[in-house]
Parts: sequence; C-alpha cells; structure tokens
Amino acid sequence: MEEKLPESVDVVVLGTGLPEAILASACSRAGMSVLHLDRNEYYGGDWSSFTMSMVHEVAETKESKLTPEDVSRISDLLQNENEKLVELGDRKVIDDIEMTWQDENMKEKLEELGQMRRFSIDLVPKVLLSKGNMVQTLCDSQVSHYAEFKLVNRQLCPSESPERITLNPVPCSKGEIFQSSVLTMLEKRALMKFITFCTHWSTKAPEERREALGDHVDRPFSEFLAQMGVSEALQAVIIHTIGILQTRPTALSGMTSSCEFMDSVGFYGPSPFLFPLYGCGELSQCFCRLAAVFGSLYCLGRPVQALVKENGRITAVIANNERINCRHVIMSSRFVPEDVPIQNRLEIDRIVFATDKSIKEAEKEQITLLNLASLRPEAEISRVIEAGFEACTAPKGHFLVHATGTREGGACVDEILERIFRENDVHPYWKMSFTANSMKFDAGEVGENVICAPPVDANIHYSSVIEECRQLFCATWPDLDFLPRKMKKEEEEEEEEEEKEEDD
Amino acid sequence: MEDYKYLFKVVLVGNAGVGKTCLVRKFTQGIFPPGQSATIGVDFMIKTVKVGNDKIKLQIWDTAGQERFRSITQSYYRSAHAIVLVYDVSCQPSFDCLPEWLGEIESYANRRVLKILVGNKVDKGDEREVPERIGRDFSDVNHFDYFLETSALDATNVDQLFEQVATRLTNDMKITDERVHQYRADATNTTSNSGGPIKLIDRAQTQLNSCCSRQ
Repeated sequence: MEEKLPESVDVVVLGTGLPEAILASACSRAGMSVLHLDRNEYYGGDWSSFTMSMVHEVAETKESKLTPEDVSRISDLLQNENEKLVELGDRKVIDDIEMTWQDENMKEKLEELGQMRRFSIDLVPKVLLSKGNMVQTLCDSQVSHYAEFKLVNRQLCPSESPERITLNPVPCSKGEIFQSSVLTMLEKRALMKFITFCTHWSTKAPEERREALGDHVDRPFSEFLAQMGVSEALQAVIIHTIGILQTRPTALSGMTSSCEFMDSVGFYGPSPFLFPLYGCGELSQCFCRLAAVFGSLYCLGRPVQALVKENGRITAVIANNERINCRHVIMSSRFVPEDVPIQNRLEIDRIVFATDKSIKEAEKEQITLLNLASLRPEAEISRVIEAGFEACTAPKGHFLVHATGTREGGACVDEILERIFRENDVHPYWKMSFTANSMKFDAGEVGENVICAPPVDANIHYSSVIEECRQLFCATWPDLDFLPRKMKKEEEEEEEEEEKEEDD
Repeated sequence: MEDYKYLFKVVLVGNAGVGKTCLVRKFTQGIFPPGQSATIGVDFMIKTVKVGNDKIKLQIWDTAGQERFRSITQSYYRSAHAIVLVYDVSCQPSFDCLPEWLGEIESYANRRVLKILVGNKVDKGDEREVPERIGRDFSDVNHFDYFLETSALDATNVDQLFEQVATRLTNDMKITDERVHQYRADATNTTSNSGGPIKLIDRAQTQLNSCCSRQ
C-alpha cells in the first residue's frame, strides 16, 4: 500500500543533485509547495557520493525509455487535445565508467572487515572557501546544522625534474609565508605591501577596481606584479598559492582570487578551504533536508516519465504513472528531453584511486589539495584532492585520491598522478575513471516555465553553482528572497520556550 | 548560559503515522498536536533533562516527512547518538517494516549508536495488533539497547523513554571520557589529529551573539 503523489504542486523538481537540491530548498523556504523526484534510490544524482559497496550503481543503467504500452497508458492522463506528451531524457552525465580492483587481496580484506561502507566516493569533489558564498548560504539558511567540515590542511604544488616530481607545500597564512625559507627579507616586505594593497583594493566598487589596475587589467597577473616591484620568486609564490583558484590569472582575476584567498585564510584555520565530512554528496542531502523541513515532499526510486506540454508551457509531470499538475519545473541536465540541442558542452576527466598510503606522508593525516596546473600548462583544470579517514571518506589508514582535469592536449591528469604514485611508492588498489559531461541547455526549448539547473562543473569550489542557482531563482521569482536568513525572532522564541521549560 | 554537560543528538525513524512527531512534541512541549498537520519549519526540538546532577541537552530530530516514500537522507543518520525506531502497536504493517528500517540504520548510522525500539499508541486498547511480547522479542533478537511501549496521547512512558535515552548516553559518555582522559595521560606526546570537525554555525553564531552581546 503506497501513498499517492499530490495532484498538484507549485514546483516539481527532477533530480536530487546539488543545484536541484539548492533550488528545491529555496522554493520551499519561500513558501511554495514542492515535489522533489529522482529515478535513483539514492540522493545526489550526478553529484552523489557512494560507498565502495554501492559505487557500482553509478554504472547501472535503468531502462527508462518509454515503451509503446507506457505511452498509451500515460496518454490516458492527458486532459485535452492541446496537451501533448514530451518524453523526459536520461542523458549520460557520468559516462565511460571503468572500475577495476588492482589488488584483489585488499578487496577481500576490506570486505572481511566490513570496511567497504566506510568509503565515500565523490562524483564531484570540491572544497568550500571559508568566506565564500556557499558557506554564507549554508549559514544563512541553517543548512549548516546538517553538515560538518574539516579544514583542508595541506596545499601542495609540484616541481618537476627528469628524476622526479617533488611536491612542495604552498604557504597559506601570513605566518607560513614569513617562516618560508624561499623568500628574502626584502621579498617578505614586498609581500606585506602587496597584501595591504589587496585589502584596500577589495573594498572598492567593481568599476574602481578595474581602474586601479590601469592598462594591466586584462594582461597577465605576473606583469602586473612585476610593475609593483614584486620579484620573480615572490611572483611564483603568489601565483602558485592562488593558482588553485585561478589557473592563468590576469591582473583582474588574479587580484580577485588573491583577495578571495586572503579573506578566507584564518577564518576557520590557516587554510582558506573546507571539505565536507563524509564527502561532497552530503551537501545535496543537507539542502534536501531543509526543503523537507519546509514541506517539500520527497519521492525517490520511482519512474519519472514525461512532461505534459500545452501552448509552450509545461502543465504537468508524469511520474510513477501519476499526473502531477504544476506551475514550474526545475530539472537537472539528465532529464532534459533528448531532442533539445546541447548549447554548451564540457568534458571533464575524473579518476579516483583508493590507496593505503598518502602521496606525501606526514606525521598526522592530512586533507590535501594538489594543483597540477604547472605540469599541464595547456589544460584549464588539473587538480587532485586526497582525503581519507579524517574526512570520513575512507577507513583508517586509507585514502581516496581524486583527480579532475579538463581535456586540452598534453598528458592526462591520471598519467601524472600515476607517476607521483610510483615515485612515492604508493600502490593504489582500486581505480575508477569516468567522464563527467557538463551540458548546458536553453530551458525555453523545453517549456516557458522550465528551469534547467546548473550542470556538474570542474570548478574547485561552489561559488558559481550557488550564484547560478540564485540568479535562476531570482529571475523566475523576482519578488521572493533566495534562501534568506532565518528570522531572528523565530530563534529567540524557540530559545525562550526552552528556557521556560527549564524553569518549570 | 550554556552550562549543560553533554548535548546528544537523538533521531526518530519509523513509518509515517506511527506518532513520531507526537512523541517529540509531548516530551518537549507537553502537548499532543491535534490533527495530521505537518510542522513546517521545525527542524529539531531541544529539551534539557537532569541525569543525576548533570544537565543534559537532548536535541531530538524528526524525519521532516521524508519517510512517506521511504526517502530519508543518509546524512540524517550521521552523528546520531541514539536512534529511536517507532512502530504503532495498532498497525501491524508498521511493525512489519521494522527490518527495512534496521537495514537503513545498519548501513548509515554509527556502529555504536544507541538503538531503542518503541511501540507507540498503547492507548488504543482493543485495537492493538502487535502484542507487547512480540515487540520485546524483536527488540531482543535484533540487539536493541532498550524496548518500551508508549502513548503520546496519554503520556504513558514518554518522559521515561527520553530520560532512559539521556541516562544511558550519559553513562556511556562518562566511560568514554574516562578512557580518553586515561589515554591522554598515557600518551602526553602524541599529537592528536588535526582538530575536530568544524560546525559552520558555531562561527556564525558566535559572531551573531557577540555583536548582540548575548553571550
């Protein structure tokens, strides 16, 4: 005996990936009725995290194409001759998946010890900037109640010689920079001057910021630093440090990243970056929980079949052979009907290794960010995140090493990583590789009242996801607030009630 | 002033309609909410109880309706100190679903979580479909730490349920504390891991509080 889905809601959301979850929570929070659906039994869609025992599910394709019988059955749900059925897509966002155990003994051992469920394998690994807009949104919306984080306590940058790739720590905080032996006293003073300049610059309005950089604004950052009297050695330190945020900085983007970086340093600790405990897939679940708390209805693991279109608008969604009337539809790129052309496509290479030794051993376990950009200068993105037990993403003594790269020419990001493994005597026992297809669509092609959620991306942090979600929400509902701060009055009332009880 | 000794996270699970929200509301607010209206915007309820001389804060989480289509997030189970699995003694199907719930708990919750089985709605007298003995047997066979029958309507055993949770968690925690103490004394030189997990709200809250001088 199963409950029926509602007959009608304000918004139907298809897919439980992070952007859909953010938008669902924003809609429920603003008082709209929301039905949130996913074909998968699990949350997170293409943004999910999996245990080692469940990760095969990502490669499983459920047959979702409608049979002629399906179509005739569903067609009975149409209410007039102007309505037509639009079959929903099942696009391959995560594709070319390969998974291999390179050490079967380790597999047996982990299974025996019941450790397979202790892994949390991210499809889209990212970090949060301590003072970035994601952290701000998490705090304002109080989604932060549902998640915990760890500081990314080590940033590494490689230098290559024919013999080996050396992984050098990148100094983050002022303290670390001043202790660094790479810089002379004079350079340290120049650095202080640069930091002061940044602090002033960041308080200016956008137009003034551009002006302050003069003719250099769109020229390489290094030229701008040079004319400020920054030596080459110091330029390298600055560019490496912010390199994880900005691969080929211009004066403007370099200054912006430097300010973002400095702003976040020291907020929760010496590093500006945070990593979510149990992996990045947690974040979509946390936003879904907020949506549910504000009344959104959740139904996972059921067929999500078609849209009903009338005069250019989507009037209903057909799921689980039921018709749900709606005013708006929000969908992940996975659900976009097959005949809608792709506007923009980016292929992201993703490789995950499981190891029982860190790429750079240290006294205590670290969460590590490694920027490989200098070894793949043609590529936009080449980075590695290593996290393990500390981040609750692997059993004690084990690590997941995530490589993310875009595809422009040169050596693949995993070839470089495998060389680093060899040179540091690390023997990965499991490997998974896949392509993440970041696809953008014109939502208007699907229907006037459709929002296509931002696709998976290769950015290091969440700023663009949250900003795109905010813009989509505000463009559709200009009168409503996007995940506003919970009113203080409510909080106070809660506390007062509590105190009253304590007195009783 | 935050002068409590421990704060514990307690989560409730079980089929829709078994009375989870009513149990929480009865315990924390002393009211039995009429009708089926879902409580919009309420995340968790907090109540302070006394265990011996210690003030213990219980943070009690409800499912936010995500159980209606069996779509509870895994993250709901994370970091719970205790899980209260509730069925309705007047509804056999809610009892028959217990193995499924146990499966979820085993997959996602901490291995050492305190597990409590509750048969609710004992006020329903002759409508009872699940005898107490059957509930207790299920609890024993599946290694629950505690079993209790309650009524959120007439308050039977409601306070006792949560007081038991608080007492058991406090006792466990005190043992762990002693062990940690012992361990630290034994190994003064070992650097612990790189600090505990970070709760974002802590920082935001501290700032908020400090600028309103509330703490």
